[in-house]
Amino acid sequence: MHIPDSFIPISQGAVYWLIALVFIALSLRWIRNEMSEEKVPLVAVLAAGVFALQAFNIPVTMGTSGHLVGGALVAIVLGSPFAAVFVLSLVLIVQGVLFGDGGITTMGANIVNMGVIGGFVGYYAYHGLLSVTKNMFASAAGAAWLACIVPALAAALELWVAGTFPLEAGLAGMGLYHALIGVVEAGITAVVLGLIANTRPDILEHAEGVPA
Amino acid sequence: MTGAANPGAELDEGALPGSFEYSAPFPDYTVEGADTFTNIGLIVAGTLLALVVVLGLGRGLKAFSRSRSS
Repeated sequence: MHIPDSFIPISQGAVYWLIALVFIALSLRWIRNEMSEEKVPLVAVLAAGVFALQAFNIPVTMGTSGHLVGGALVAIVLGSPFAAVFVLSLVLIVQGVLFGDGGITTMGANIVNMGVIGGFVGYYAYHGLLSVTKNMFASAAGAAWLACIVPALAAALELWVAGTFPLEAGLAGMGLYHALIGVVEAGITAVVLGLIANTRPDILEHAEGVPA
Repeated sequence: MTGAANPGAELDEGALPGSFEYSAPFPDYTVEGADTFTNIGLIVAGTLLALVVVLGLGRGLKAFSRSRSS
Protein backbone atom coordinates (compact mmCIF):
# COMPACT_ATOMS: atom_id res chain seq x y z
CA MET A 1 0.00 0.00 0.00
CA HIS A 2 3.09 2.20 0.17
CA ILE A 3 3.01 4.52 -2.84
CA PRO A 4 6.52 4.98 -4.28
CA ASP A 5 7.99 8.24 -5.54
CA SER A 6 6.92 9.26 -9.04
CA PHE A 7 3.59 7.43 -8.81
CA ILE A 8 2.00 10.73 -7.74
CA PRO A 9 3.04 14.14 -9.19
CA ILE A 10 4.99 16.27 -6.71
CA SER A 11 2.29 18.97 -6.69
CA GLN A 12 -0.35 16.44 -5.59
CA GLY A 13 2.11 14.87 -3.19
CA ALA A 14 2.53 18.27 -1.55
CA VAL A 15 -1.21 18.47 -0.92
CA TYR A 16 -1.19 15.07 0.79
CA TRP A 17 1.85 16.14 2.81
CA LEU A 18 -0.03 19.24 4.01
CA ILE A 19 -3.02 17.14 5.10
CA ALA A 20 -0.68 14.67 6.79
CA LEU A 21 1.19 17.43 8.64
CA VAL A 22 -2.07 18.78 10.07
CA PHE A 23 -2.92 15.36 11.47
CA ILE A 24 0.66 14.76 12.66
CA ALA A 25 0.49 18.05 14.58
CA LEU A 26 -2.82 16.99 16.12
CA SER A 27 -1.34 13.62 17.05
CA LEU A 28 1.64 15.30 18.73
CA ARG A 29 -0.79 17.44 20.69
CA TRP A 30 -2.66 14.27 21.71
CA ILE A 31 0.60 12.70 22.90
CA ARG A 32 1.52 15.78 24.92
CA ASN A 33 -1.86 16.52 26.45
CA GLU A 34 -3.91 13.34 26.63
CA MET A 35 -1.68 10.28 26.63
CA SER A 36 -0.27 9.20 29.97
CA GLU A 37 3.49 8.81 30.25
CA GLU A 38 3.09 5.17 31.27
CA LYS A 39 1.70 4.43 27.81
CA VAL A 40 4.84 5.58 25.96
CA PRO A 41 6.52 2.13 26.04
CA LEU A 42 3.29 0.52 24.82
CA VAL A 43 3.12 2.99 21.94
CA ALA A 44 6.71 2.10 21.03
CA VAL A 45 6.01 -1.64 21.16
CA LEU A 46 2.96 -1.18 18.94
CA ALA A 47 5.10 0.80 16.48
CA ALA A 48 7.64 -2.02 16.39
CA GLY A 49 4.84 -4.53 15.83
CA VAL A 50 3.34 -2.47 13.00
CA PHE A 51 6.77 -2.15 11.37
CA ALA A 52 7.34 -5.89 11.52
CA LEU A 53 3.85 -6.67 10.18
CA GLN A 54 4.21 -4.24 7.28
CA ALA A 55 7.63 -5.57 6.31
CA PHE A 56 5.96 -8.65 4.87
CA ASN A 57 4.62 -7.62 1.49
CA ILE A 58 2.91 -9.67 -1.15
CA PRO A 59 2.95 -8.50 -4.78
CA VAL A 60 -0.28 -6.94 -6.04
CA THR A 61 -1.07 -5.63 -9.52
CA MET A 62 0.59 -2.72 -11.34
CA GLY A 63 3.85 -2.55 -9.43
CA THR A 64 2.24 -2.38 -6.06
CA SER A 65 2.08 -4.76 -3.13
CA GLY A 66 -0.22 -5.52 -0.23
CA HIS A 67 0.41 -5.91 3.48
CA LEU A 68 -1.17 -5.58 6.89
CA VAL A 69 -1.75 -2.03 8.15
CA GLY A 70 -2.17 -2.10 11.94
CA GLY A 71 -3.91 1.27 12.28
CA ALA A 72 -7.06 -0.17 13.83
CA LEU A 73 -5.14 -2.16 16.43
CA VAL A 74 -3.15 0.89 17.55
CA ALA A 75 -6.21 3.15 17.66
CA ILE A 76 -8.32 0.65 19.60
CA VAL A 77 -5.62 -0.30 22.13
CA LEU A 78 -4.60 3.29 22.81
CA GLY A 79 -8.14 4.67 22.63
CA SER A 80 -7.60 7.35 20.00
CA PRO A 81 -7.24 7.55 16.22
CA PHE A 82 -4.45 10.09 16.75
CA ALA A 83 -2.37 7.32 18.28
CA ALA A 84 -2.52 5.54 14.93
CA VAL A 85 -1.53 8.73 13.11
CA PHE A 86 1.50 9.14 15.40
CA VAL A 87 2.64 5.53 15.23
CA LEU A 88 2.02 4.99 11.51
CA SER A 89 3.68 8.32 10.61
CA LEU A 90 6.90 7.41 12.38
CA VAL A 91 6.87 3.86 11.04
CA LEU A 92 6.33 5.14 7.49
CA ILE A 93 9.17 7.65 7.86
CA VAL A 94 11.58 4.89 8.92
CA GLN A 95 10.33 2.60 6.14
CA GLY A 96 10.55 5.29 3.46
CA VAL A 97 13.89 6.83 4.39
CA LEU A 98 15.85 3.67 5.21
CA PHE A 99 14.14 0.87 3.33
CA GLY A 100 12.63 2.53 0.28
CA ASP A 101 9.21 1.18 1.26
CA GLY A 102 7.13 4.09 0.03
CA GLY A 103 8.45 7.32 -1.45
CA ILE A 104 9.52 10.60 0.14
CA THR A 105 7.30 12.87 -1.97
CA THR A 106 4.42 10.41 -1.59
CA MET A 107 4.95 9.85 2.13
CA GLY A 108 2.20 12.36 2.90
CA ALA A 109 -0.25 10.28 0.89
CA ASN A 110 0.91 7.11 2.64
CA ILE A 111 0.49 8.75 6.05
CA VAL A 112 -2.98 9.98 5.07
CA ASN A 113 -3.97 6.51 3.84
CA MET A 114 -2.60 4.24 6.54
CA GLY A 115 -2.29 6.58 9.52
CA VAL A 116 -5.22 8.97 9.15
CA ILE A 117 -7.76 6.94 7.17
CA GLY A 118 -6.67 3.60 8.68
CA GLY A 119 -6.66 4.97 12.21
CA PHE A 120 -9.93 6.89 12.03
CA VAL A 121 -11.78 4.15 10.13
CA GLY A 122 -10.50 1.55 12.58
CA TYR A 123 -11.35 3.54 15.67
CA TYR A 124 -14.83 4.73 14.68
CA ALA A 125 -15.77 1.47 12.97
CA TYR A 126 -14.84 -0.35 16.18
CA HIS A 127 -17.11 1.87 18.27
CA GLY A 128 -19.89 1.72 15.70
CA LEU A 129 -19.74 -2.07 15.46
CA LEU A 130 -19.44 -2.39 19.22
CA SER A 131 -22.69 -0.51 19.74
CA VAL A 132 -24.38 -3.07 17.47
CA THR A 133 -22.65 -6.34 18.29
CA LYS A 134 -21.69 -5.66 21.96
CA ASN A 135 -18.74 -7.96 21.27
CA MET A 136 -15.21 -6.57 21.47
CA PHE A 137 -13.55 -9.23 19.32
CA ALA A 138 -16.10 -9.19 16.50
CA SER A 139 -16.08 -5.39 16.49
CA ALA A 140 -12.28 -5.21 16.46
CA ALA A 141 -12.09 -7.78 13.67
CA GLY A 142 -14.64 -5.92 11.56
CA ALA A 143 -12.96 -2.59 12.20
CA ALA A 144 -9.53 -4.00 11.32
CA TRP A 145 -10.86 -5.43 8.06
CA LEU A 146 -12.34 -2.05 7.13
CA ALA A 147 -9.15 -0.25 8.21
CA CYS A 148 -7.20 -2.48 5.83
CA ILE A 149 -9.39 -2.21 2.75
CA VAL A 150 -10.48 1.45 2.95
CA PRO A 151 -6.89 2.84 2.90
CA ALA A 152 -6.14 0.52 -0.03
CA LEU A 153 -9.12 1.90 -1.94
CA ALA A 154 -8.03 5.43 -1.03
CA ALA A 155 -4.58 4.69 -2.45
CA ALA A 156 -6.16 3.41 -5.65
CA LEU A 157 -8.25 6.58 -5.87
CA GLU A 158 -5.19 8.78 -5.34
CA LEU A 159 -3.29 6.93 -8.06
CA TRP A 160 -6.24 7.46 -10.39
CA VAL A 161 -6.35 11.19 -9.57
CA ALA A 162 -2.61 11.28 -10.26
CA GLY A 163 -3.24 9.74 -13.67
CA THR A 164 -1.07 6.77 -12.83
CA PHE A 165 -3.52 3.88 -12.99
CA PRO A 166 -7.08 3.47 -14.27
CA LEU A 167 -9.69 3.70 -11.53
CA GLU A 168 -11.49 0.41 -12.06
CA ALA A 169 -8.32 -1.68 -12.31
CA GLY A 170 -6.83 0.07 -9.30
CA LEU A 171 -9.92 -0.34 -7.13
CA ALA A 172 -10.33 -3.96 -8.19
CA GLY A 173 -6.68 -4.88 -7.71
CA MET A 174 -6.11 -3.09 -4.42
CA GLY A 175 -9.59 -3.84 -3.13
CA LEU A 176 -9.53 -7.56 -3.87
CA TYR A 177 -6.10 -8.23 -2.40
CA HIS A 178 -6.66 -6.11 0.67
CA ALA A 179 -10.08 -7.65 1.24
CA LEU A 180 -8.20 -10.94 1.62
CA ILE A 181 -5.28 -9.46 3.59
CA GLY A 182 -7.89 -7.73 5.76
CA VAL A 183 -9.17 -11.12 6.91
CA VAL A 184 -5.69 -11.87 8.30
CA GLU A 185 -5.52 -8.39 9.82
CA ALA A 186 -8.94 -8.91 11.41
CA GLY A 187 -7.79 -12.17 12.97
CA ILE A 188 -4.51 -10.74 14.25
CA THR A 189 -6.24 -7.68 15.70
CA ALA A 190 -8.86 -9.76 17.51
CA VAL A 191 -6.25 -12.20 18.84
CA VAL A 192 -3.92 -9.44 20.06
CA LEU A 193 -6.80 -7.63 21.75
CA GLY A 194 -7.90 -10.89 23.34
CA LEU A 195 -4.41 -11.58 24.66
CA ILE A 196 -4.12 -8.07 26.09
CA ALA A 197 -7.61 -8.25 27.62
CA ASN A 198 -6.71 -11.55 29.31
CA THR A 199 -3.27 -10.64 30.58
CA ARG A 200 -3.23 -6.87 31.01
CA PRO A 201 -6.79 -5.53 30.92
CA ASP A 202 -5.55 -2.30 32.51
CA ILE A 203 -3.85 -1.47 29.20
CA LEU A 204 -7.25 -1.35 27.55
CA GLU A 205 -8.79 1.06 30.03
CA HIS A 206 -9.65 3.50 27.23
CA ALA A 207 -10.98 0.84 24.88
CA GLU A 208 -14.72 0.40 25.28
CA GLY A 209 -16.24 -3.04 25.26
CA VAL A 210 -13.45 -4.81 27.11
CA PRO A 211 -14.80 -7.57 29.29
CA ALA A 212 -14.26 -6.83 32.97
CA MET B 1 3.40 -1.22 -2.26
CA THR B 2 7.12 -1.35 -2.15
CA GLY B 3 9.57 1.33 -3.09
CA ALA B 4 10.69 -0.14 -6.35
CA ALA B 5 8.11 -1.03 -8.96
CA ASN B 6 8.03 -4.71 -9.85
CA PRO B 7 8.63 -5.90 -13.41
CA GLY B 8 4.89 -6.01 -14.01
CA ALA B 9 4.48 -2.28 -13.50
CA GLU B 10 3.07 -0.51 -16.50
CA LEU B 11 3.85 3.02 -15.39
CA ASP B 12 6.10 5.21 -17.50
CA GLU B 13 7.63 7.20 -14.66
CA GLY B 14 8.89 9.89 -17.00
CA ALA B 15 5.32 10.71 -17.96
CA LEU B 16 4.50 12.34 -14.62
CA PRO B 17 5.29 16.01 -14.03
CA GLY B 18 8.07 16.83 -11.58
CA SER B 19 10.95 14.61 -10.61
CA PHE B 20 12.60 13.48 -7.40
CA GLU B 21 15.55 11.22 -6.89
CA TYR B 22 16.19 9.39 -3.66
CA SER B 23 17.82 6.04 -3.10
CA ALA B 24 17.12 4.34 0.21
CA PRO B 25 20.15 2.56 1.69
CA PHE B 26 18.31 -0.77 2.04
CA PRO B 27 15.63 -0.90 -0.68
CA ASP B 28 12.90 -3.48 -0.11
CA TYR B 29 14.42 -4.48 3.25
CA THR B 30 17.43 -6.05 1.60
CA VAL B 31 21.16 -5.59 1.27
CA GLU B 32 22.30 -6.26 -2.27
CA GLY B 33 23.97 -9.65 -2.49
CA ALA B 34 23.31 -10.52 1.14
CA ASP B 35 21.93 -13.86 2.32
CA THR B 36 18.50 -14.46 3.84
CA PHE B 37 19.70 -14.22 7.43
CA THR B 38 21.22 -10.79 6.82
CA ASN B 39 17.98 -9.56 5.29
CA ILE B 40 15.96 -10.93 8.20
CA GLY B 41 18.41 -9.18 10.51
CA LEU B 42 17.72 -5.97 8.60
CA ILE B 43 13.99 -6.26 9.31
CA VAL B 44 14.74 -6.95 12.98
CA ALA B 45 17.02 -3.89 13.07
CA GLY B 46 14.30 -1.78 11.44
CA THR B 47 11.77 -3.04 13.96
CA LEU B 48 14.07 -2.08 16.84
CA LEU B 49 14.72 1.29 15.22
CA ALA B 50 10.99 1.97 15.01
CA LEU B 51 10.68 1.09 18.69
CA VAL B 52 13.56 3.37 19.69
CA VAL B 53 12.37 6.29 17.55
CA VAL B 54 8.82 6.17 18.91
CA LEU B 55 10.02 5.61 22.48
CA GLY B 56 12.45 8.53 22.25
CA LEU B 57 10.02 10.92 20.64
CA GLY B 58 7.21 9.92 23.00
CA ARG B 59 9.37 10.39 26.07
CA GLY B 60 10.71 13.66 24.68
CA LEU B 61 7.24 15.02 24.05
CA LYS B 62 6.07 14.08 27.54
CA ALA B 63 9.20 15.67 29.09
CA PHE B 64 8.60 18.81 27.03
CA SER B 65 4.98 18.86 28.16
CA ARG B 66 6.04 18.48 31.81
CA SER B 67 8.59 21.27 31.60
CA ARG B 68 6.02 23.63 30.05
CA SER B 69 3.44 22.93 32.73
CA SER B 70 5.82 23.30 35.68
